Amino acid sequence: MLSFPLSLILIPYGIIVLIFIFLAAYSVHNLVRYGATTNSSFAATFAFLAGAVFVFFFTWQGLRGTDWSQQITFGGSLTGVTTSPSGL
Amino acid sequence: MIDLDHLIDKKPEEKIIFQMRSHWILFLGELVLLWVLAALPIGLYVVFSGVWPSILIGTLSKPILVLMTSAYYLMLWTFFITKFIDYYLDVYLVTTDRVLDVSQQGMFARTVSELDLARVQDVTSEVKGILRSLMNFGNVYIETAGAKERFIFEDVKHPDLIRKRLLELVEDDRKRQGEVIAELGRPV
Repeated sequence: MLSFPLSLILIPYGIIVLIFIFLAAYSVHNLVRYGATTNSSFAATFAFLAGAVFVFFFTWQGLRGTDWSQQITFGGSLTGVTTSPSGL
Repeated sequence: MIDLDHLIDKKPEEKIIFQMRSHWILFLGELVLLWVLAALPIGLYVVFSGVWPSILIGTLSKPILVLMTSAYYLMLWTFFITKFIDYYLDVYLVTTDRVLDVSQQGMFARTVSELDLARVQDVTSEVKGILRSLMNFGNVYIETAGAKERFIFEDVKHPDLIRKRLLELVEDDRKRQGEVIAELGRPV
């Protein structure tokens, strides 16, 4: 049966993160260039960056202890080994 | 206030009289959609907890779900900032000399249209609908003699006041230009 390591799914996620970083940097640049002198612009930029940090922090928390060498097998169990119901 | 120097070549004596953007209530409507979309994975988590709890704790399925959820929220967050930029950088400016319509379309497109106050022929304000009447916002239509016949300030606060003030500015501009012409025509 065809199988591949779990770590392979980090590649599409990495691409999404790179796109996000590019769009985030461009958005902040736009706001700073055209509307940096107002409180609402500053608040939106801050909320956006804080939200992004929040998402990355919870992703890191959720992925702690993951064994990336596990194999995903087509036609195999979707859940893998069931661990104790903590996290996520 | 928006940085005018990045958009146009400002004349030395030109001053921004007022700056407007669409009413914030319209942006709030888009934020409601964002909250609904943000709540979607939480709803799914609750459903899976009852129907298929093992998928939430499996050694394979858990990291996949975490990454999928993370990617979903990153895309949602990008959607939020794009909507904010679209709303916030979409502005109408009235200076002592002209009217400017800076239209932001998404993240990578911007159109700047300008109209000389001297070319303004007529200004009309319109407040239509319950919400607009209650919150006093609506459209201001500027009729011109040029090829682009109408300039529209969409869903701005206090459209009647803006119309009055705009007509005063047009009048002031005409007087100023009349004085300049008279000055030029005077024999030396």
